[in-house]
Amino acid sequence: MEERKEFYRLLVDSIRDYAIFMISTDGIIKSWNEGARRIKGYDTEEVVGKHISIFYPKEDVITRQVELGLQKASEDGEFEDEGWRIKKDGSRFWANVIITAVYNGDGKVIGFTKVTRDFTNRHQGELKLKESEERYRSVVKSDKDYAIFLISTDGSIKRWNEGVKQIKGYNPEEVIGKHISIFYPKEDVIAGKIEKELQKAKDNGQFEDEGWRIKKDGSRFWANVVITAIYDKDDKLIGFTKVTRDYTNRYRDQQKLFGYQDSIERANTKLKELDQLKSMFLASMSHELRTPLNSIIGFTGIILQGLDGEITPLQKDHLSRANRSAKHLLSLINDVIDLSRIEAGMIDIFPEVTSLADVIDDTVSWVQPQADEKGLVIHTNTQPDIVIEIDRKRLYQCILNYLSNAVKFTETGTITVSCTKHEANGDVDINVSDTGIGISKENLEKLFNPFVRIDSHLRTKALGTGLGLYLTKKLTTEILNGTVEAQSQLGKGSTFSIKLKEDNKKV
Amino acid sequence: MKTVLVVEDNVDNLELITVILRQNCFKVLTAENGENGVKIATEEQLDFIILDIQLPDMDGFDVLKAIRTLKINGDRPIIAMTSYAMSGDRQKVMKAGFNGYIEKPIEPERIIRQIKEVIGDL
Repeated sequence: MEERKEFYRLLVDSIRDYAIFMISTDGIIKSWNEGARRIKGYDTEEVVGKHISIFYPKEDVITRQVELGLQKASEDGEFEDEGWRIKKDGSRFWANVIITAVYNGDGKVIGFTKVTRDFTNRHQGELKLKESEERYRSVVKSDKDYAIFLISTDGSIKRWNEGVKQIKGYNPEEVIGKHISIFYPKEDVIAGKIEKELQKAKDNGQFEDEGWRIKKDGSRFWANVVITAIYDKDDKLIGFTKVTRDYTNRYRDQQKLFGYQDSIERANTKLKELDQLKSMFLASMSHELRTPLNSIIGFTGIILQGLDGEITPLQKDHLSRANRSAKHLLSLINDVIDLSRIEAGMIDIFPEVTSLADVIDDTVSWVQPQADEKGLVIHTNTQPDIVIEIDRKRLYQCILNYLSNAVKFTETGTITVSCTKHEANGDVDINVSDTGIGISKENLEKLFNPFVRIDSHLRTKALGTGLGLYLTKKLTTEILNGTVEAQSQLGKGSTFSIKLKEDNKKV
Repeated sequence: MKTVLVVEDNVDNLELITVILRQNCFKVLTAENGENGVKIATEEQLDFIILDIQLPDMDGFDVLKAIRTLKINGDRPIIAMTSYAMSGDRQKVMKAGFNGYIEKPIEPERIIRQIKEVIGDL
């Protein structure tokens, strides 16, 4: 007998995962084991003789939970409970507790065994599960934006939520047991759409679709439908969940968007046609406008040259005015056409191997007569020659613009055209310098804007289009891959530059 | 005296060039369309030809091709003439086989210089 008792004591002592201890009928701790020490943190000598209420939260002690537990155990022989308990360090743990009454030979309760397990982890897991279950239940039940229902493998309705009423207009009892085909348009039912959808959900686990569905009142709505297959733990298909959303508004918006897209496309096509018409107009206008001007410039030119016989000084003066005006008008037309081409992105770039010295010589020979007339000397400084690949005509146009400005705005002195290559980066600068009237700092800033005419006190008002420098800037930046620059001192002269970037040149 | 054929559909311009060339001691033959131009080039001995690019019947490039195949005049210098040209015209005409290029508007002093640059001391 003593041996057996000793055996049990040793057994109980060695159990580590259960706190097992004996208590008296009034709750005083009589024994303590290793598991109790591990779970509650007390050593044997600390707790033996104390009341078990030290393990309970204050609120349980006050509400006499301890006494109630013992009472129940003595009445029923056993009492099981779960709840928070306190460790020696004051922290809580979730305990599973079984209190068992111990009887003497006369059947009288002489004490209790108390077995406590730490279920904190399990408890938290359960809590989470419970929480998510509850959340899910409430979502499914109350969500009115989604019609969620459970259907059997053959498509008959088993359960559904509030959203179904909201979206489809049915009360739950009206449809339980019915086949989901009641929600589909006739043509879909005939076409076997439902069977196909269920089959696809079965094959792929899930099936999503959008299309028209029918409400109780017969009206249609545009539905987004997700059907998900449900399997039991043996992987046997037991049914489907079907989640339906009313996307009618979204669908209408989309349709509207498609409509807008359509009309934008139509407008675009029309714009393209108009754009083409405009290009044709420009091309033909440029020809039609220039031809008569060429005639005026040409014939006044030959009379001025005396090819038709001698003319009086007055006739010469008047004819010169006509000739100059015609040339002015022609350059205005040319500038406007060039600018509109650039702005329409219609200008083509034709790079060709070009000697800068050649281009500069060409421009100089063009303005030479006007320079001679004013007694101006034009120097060129183009050695060593620089050869680059560039749109020659556009470069010519830009340099010529600078040069004719220089001639126009210089009364006495020299004009110098030069080009230099920066050995470091390969960039090329073309500079046109004059000893002319110069430009004030504030005017310098707006010089390259369109229709800028700067008032000068020149004897003869220089003719210009107001577009020349603007066009030069546009051509330089957009065709020649360069930049423009101007420096000037009022009364001393100006230098206009075209700076061409290295990557222009392949020669 | 050198003989030049000028093919130009615009009568004013044709008159203008004719006057300038005659004043500068050229014998000038004229045609107002491509077909006539080719016909004259087939029949007359020419020193050079000035050809407008934009012609009503065939364009200057076709006329050029036709003349280049001729026994006589096939090897004569042919100068293209266009109004203030778009970029690329210069390249286009030189590539097509023209010997030179002049731009409208025609100005008396300039056109003679440009012509002489192309034909040299023919």
